[in-house]
Amino acid sequence: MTPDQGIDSTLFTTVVEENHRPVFNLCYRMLGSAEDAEDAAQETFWKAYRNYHRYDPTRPLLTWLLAIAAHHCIDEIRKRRMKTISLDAFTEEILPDSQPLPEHQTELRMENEILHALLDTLQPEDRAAVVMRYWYGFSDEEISQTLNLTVPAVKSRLFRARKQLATVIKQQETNHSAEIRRQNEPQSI
Amino acid sequence: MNHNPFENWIFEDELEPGEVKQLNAHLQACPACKALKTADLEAKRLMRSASISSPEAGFTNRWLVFAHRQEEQAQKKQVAILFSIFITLAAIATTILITASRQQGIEIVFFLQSSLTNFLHWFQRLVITLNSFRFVLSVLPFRVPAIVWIFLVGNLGFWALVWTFSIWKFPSIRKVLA
Ligand SMILES: [Zn+2]
Repeated sequence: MTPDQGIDSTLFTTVVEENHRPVFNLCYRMLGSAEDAEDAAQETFWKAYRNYHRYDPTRPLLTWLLAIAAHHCIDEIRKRRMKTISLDAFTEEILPDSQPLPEHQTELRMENEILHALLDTLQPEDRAAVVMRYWYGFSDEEISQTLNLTVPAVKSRLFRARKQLATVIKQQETNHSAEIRRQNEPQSI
Repeated sequence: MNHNPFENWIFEDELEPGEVKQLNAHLQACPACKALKTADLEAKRLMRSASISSPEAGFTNRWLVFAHRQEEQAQKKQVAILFSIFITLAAIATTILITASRQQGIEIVFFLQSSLTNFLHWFQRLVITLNSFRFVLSVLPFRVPAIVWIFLVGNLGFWALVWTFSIWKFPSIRKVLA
């Protein structure tokens, strides 16, 4: 299929079918909820469908789609001005489900939630760069092309994001240790 | 303990072998930087262990429904715009018919006719100018020095200003109104 002035939506379903998983995943990692990710992925394919004539076939189609998805999600995050959920607030939010999940699934879900709470502490562009690096193995050059940034800007964003994530985890560990120490201290009457 | 530059080196991928040695020595001695390094590894572990997640089955079908709905909405919007333009024009025409005298009516018709002719005339000139500009661009040597570009763009800006001013001062509009 080559891009032209227009493309039939039924024909475009092949593009959707082949690429919806990675596009959805990017939206999910960017927005943190499956529902929002579904909407964002639908919008992404709609924008891609409308602008298919602008697609440069020398570039991989998935990279182009991920670029649209990333920009859409960055805009969404800015629009909603999502409140940064602290890990403290988050751990209180995890309540047992009405239907108990197998242990490994619960663990996975918790890790996922912790991950999204962590990613929420990043700026939208930094978050997009991190997702592209760790989930899609994009190089600095690929990220720079996808997010319209210079390579040094990508390097600095990834550096800043990694430092931020580590600092939050370290802080969380410190708080956790302090809490345990407090609980173990003999209580004065 | 001074953590500089080690607390930044933890997040650098391109360290010299000597720097790696120094960093490792510091990590052995400094619990704060060691904790930061452990946290960085934990962040990486969390991200690498998280798989590519998929939407619920039937995404493509849901997208088709979404696309048809978007297309319908776009069409409705177009129709609404055309309808409001038509209604506005009809309202203006009715108001003119009701309020204007015969002489005023003729003047208005002449004014509209002359405005339309002028607009088409200027639009035609704009198209010709743009086309010749495109031709100039296509025959220009591939690499033109920046100073030539600045000169060209500056000149173009100046003539655009003169052109806009001349349209603004165009006398025929006043003639029609007189
Ligand atoms: Zn240190």
